[in-house]
Amino acid sequence: MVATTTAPAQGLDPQALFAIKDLELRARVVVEGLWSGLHRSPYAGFSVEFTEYRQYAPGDDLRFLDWKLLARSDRHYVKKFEDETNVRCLILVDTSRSMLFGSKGWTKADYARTLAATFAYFLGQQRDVVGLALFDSVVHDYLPPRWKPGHFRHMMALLEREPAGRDTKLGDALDEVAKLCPKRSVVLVLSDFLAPVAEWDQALARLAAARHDVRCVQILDPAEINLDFGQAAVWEDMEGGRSVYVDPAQARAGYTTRFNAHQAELKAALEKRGIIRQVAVTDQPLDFVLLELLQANHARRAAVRRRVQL
Amino acid sequence: MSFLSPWFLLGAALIVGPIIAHLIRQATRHRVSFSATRFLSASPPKLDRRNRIQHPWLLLLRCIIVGVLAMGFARPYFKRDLPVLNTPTIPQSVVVVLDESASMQRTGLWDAARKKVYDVADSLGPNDQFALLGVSGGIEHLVTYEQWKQAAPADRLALVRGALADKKPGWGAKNLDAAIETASTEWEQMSENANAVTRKKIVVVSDFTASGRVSGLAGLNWPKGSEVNLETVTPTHAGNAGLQWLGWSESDAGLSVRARIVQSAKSTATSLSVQLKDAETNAPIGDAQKLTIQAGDTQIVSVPVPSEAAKKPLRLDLSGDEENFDNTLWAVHPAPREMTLTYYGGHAANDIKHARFYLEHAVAGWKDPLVKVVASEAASATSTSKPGSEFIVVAGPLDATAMDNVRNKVSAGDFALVLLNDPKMVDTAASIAGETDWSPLQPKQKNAMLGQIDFQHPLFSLFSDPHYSDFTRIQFTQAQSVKLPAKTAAVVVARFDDTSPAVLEVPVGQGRMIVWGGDWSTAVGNWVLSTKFVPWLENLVERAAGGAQRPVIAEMSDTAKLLDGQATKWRPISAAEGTFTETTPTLPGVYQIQQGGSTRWVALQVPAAASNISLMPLETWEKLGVPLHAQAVTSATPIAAPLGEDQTAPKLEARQKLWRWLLLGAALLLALESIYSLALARRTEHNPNEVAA
Repeated sequence: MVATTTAPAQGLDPQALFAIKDLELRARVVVEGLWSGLHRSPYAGFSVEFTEYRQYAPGDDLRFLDWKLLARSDRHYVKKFEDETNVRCLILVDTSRSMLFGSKGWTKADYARTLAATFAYFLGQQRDVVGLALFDSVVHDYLPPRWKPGHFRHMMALLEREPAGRDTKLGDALDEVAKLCPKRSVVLVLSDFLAPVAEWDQALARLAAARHDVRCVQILDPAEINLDFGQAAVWEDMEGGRSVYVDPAQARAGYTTRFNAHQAELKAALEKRGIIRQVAVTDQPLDFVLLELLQANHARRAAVRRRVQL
Repeated sequence: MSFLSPWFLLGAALIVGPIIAHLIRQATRHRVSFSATRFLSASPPKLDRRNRIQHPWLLLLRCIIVGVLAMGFARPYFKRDLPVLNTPTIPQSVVVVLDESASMQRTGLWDAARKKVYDVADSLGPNDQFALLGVSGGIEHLVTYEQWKQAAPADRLALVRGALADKKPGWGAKNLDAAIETASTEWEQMSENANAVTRKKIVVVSDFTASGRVSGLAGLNWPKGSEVNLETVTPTHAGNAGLQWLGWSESDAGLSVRARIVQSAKSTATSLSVQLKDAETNAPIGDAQKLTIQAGDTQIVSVPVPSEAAKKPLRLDLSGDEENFDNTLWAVHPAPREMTLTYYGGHAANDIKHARFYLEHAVAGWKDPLVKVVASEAASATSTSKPGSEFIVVAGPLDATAMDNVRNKVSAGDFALVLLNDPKMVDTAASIAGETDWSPLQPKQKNAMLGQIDFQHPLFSLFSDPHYSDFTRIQFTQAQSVKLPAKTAAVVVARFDDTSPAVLEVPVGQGRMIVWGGDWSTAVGNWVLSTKFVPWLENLVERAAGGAQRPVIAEMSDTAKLLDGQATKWRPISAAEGTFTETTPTLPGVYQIQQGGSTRWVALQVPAAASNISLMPLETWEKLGVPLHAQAVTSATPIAAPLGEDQTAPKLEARQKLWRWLLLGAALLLALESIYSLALARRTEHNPNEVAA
């Protein structure tokens, strides 16, 4: 499932946002802005799971009346969903060396950390339980989802820690997460997903098969999309150590072709597993990305509801 | 423009470095980190731009820096200095100092020097002032500026030529400092007579050998704008060997003449010979000595003098070298003054109880004066000597004849010593002095000592140094003093420790009488055993002989030490007997001089320094602050042409110091290059595609 972005006309300028050094404050700014803009949010709640029935009372939304039950037993019951309950969410943040690239004055890692903090804060506001796992070649920092005072601050401290900068092994990291978090959760993976799909495809499939609700946010720099960056020089890979003389003007066409092919392969692999994928470009306002995440959740909830109604 | 170190110009080849650096594409220097290089493929280099020079202006700047640095290290200079006040409208005051010292006797020097003087005089205009000084020991005004001024402009050269036509170089010392100082005073007189400001110039025409004296120029105030031109004259022969007088050597083998032969550094004649000759007849004495002396070496020769020739004036001739002016040494052996010590007392020579024994032993080894002790009985018969040749010792009473004899001799100029070995001797002393009322006086102490001594007096001035002035160990067991009248000519030179007179000196006529308060014997004291006894006596006898012996050999420039301030007449050895003149000699040689009634032989030598013909370093003049003209430096320095080129180039380069300006320029260009390249780097950083393009 892919959520396409329909960006509003205005949002928080990333440059202004990243001028704020404090990660928690950055998250607050994004979330508070989002709340003030949403008013009566159609995207209330993140939970999609049906929990129980209760008797209809006048004033209840008729959309949630269980018509099938009414037909069978002539009783008025409404379904209660988990959006009114707490949800477990584990945020996986890629801290590998490739995430340290940035052509706009901030890196993909900065963007991912801010997005993770924003999302964690947002969920915290709904009293959902949130956990955090930082990984590169292994999961080097893990904070299980829980609700307790200081938990959010602890997450912020982990996120603000500078990454050691190792190579990405997404497959191994996902397998490790599956072991660390056996309880069914929403797993939000923030990475650039530039590694070959074959390296992590099976691991992702295993995670999804463990009934985790996996959602992927691919963080990309604009330069990685169009190669409008750099000069004729020796280009060194941030992870592999590969060096190659590249003239961007000459290499742009070939790069775009190969990159798009990778994106298509990525899309196909995730759709095959029913995993929501969202592309977040680092020059995109963060509140938009958060909004798109919620929209994607809403779409998925609608789909679930349709399945329940069927 | 010339270069002192032209091989540094090869450093300009380093320009190739920046050119190659600018030909290489700098893009490859940059490194770009990227996260998704696996989607990138290598780009081929752009061949069409490979040989294109990047940033040509920066390259030009860098090439200029390398070139300027190379030029700076090569130390450039201009061969001709800027002209100094060389405007014909300013009249000149030129004083030419012509070296007439002994070294100018060398072949070819004098004619060359005169030509230089003529050239200077010929180059002057009608308004210029001129004076010509000659220096050979003293200063001689050959052409005064009044003579120059009074002569018509057309006749001025002839005036100078006339002054030098018959002139020959002298034998004096090369006192250039005195001559230049005199020349600067000439300037002052010229400027007093000049109507306008003049350009002051001293032209020194010399061979500039190291024997020249210039030390007196230190601290001389040079008028503003003045300059000194050093005009060197070059001799025909570069080498020379000279004789220098060392002295007489007397040994058991006999008398010999010692001389040093100095061979110059450029001398080619190494086989030399010396021959001793009779100065009067030029007849050889003995055989010639053959010597081999390498260039730059010195050797001492000792030529034996046969005893029969010792009293004759001699000459030592050197032959075999290039120049003859310093090849002869003139020698006169100083004859010892003979003196008779007449002893009055009647004591035997071997009687140790009386003074004669000690006198005989004290004078035994003296060379000058050569003293012979004789008893009064033998002396009185042969007493026809001239005053000052006899020393009288009275150690016993005198009869009337002896008294008259002693008094006459002392009055004529002899010295007498009276020993008061008996109270009666006081009357004897008073009689010789021609005074009365002298009475004996016995010192109070039994063992008397000399308590007060006048060390300013010639009798004891020998011991005036505190190291030798201790007389406290000398005791007199039988001292005899004198009570002098109030009015007396006697001077008390020393007193006993009870202040009674111990030693007196009394002028008697032309001579003097010394009275000693006691006897000279070990029986009456330890004076004759004292280390002071013999020096005291020798000092006294030498004083009686007329003082220290005057030298008989001197250099031409130092004749004053021969004369002792007395009026002197001279006779060359070659002149007829008795033909004395008052003219001071101008040639080296042997002369007979007449002073008072006596005559003696003296020898005048060529100055030893004249044999040193090595060149005076130019730095000597510069250190003394002499305002040398650059062109003068060029012409004055060399005595050999190739050497001069090497020597003047560093001077000119050091004076101009162009390398400093070049290095300063290089530093400024380097700063400009840094700023420019920094600006380029920033522009590239902000717009990388520009570089790629």
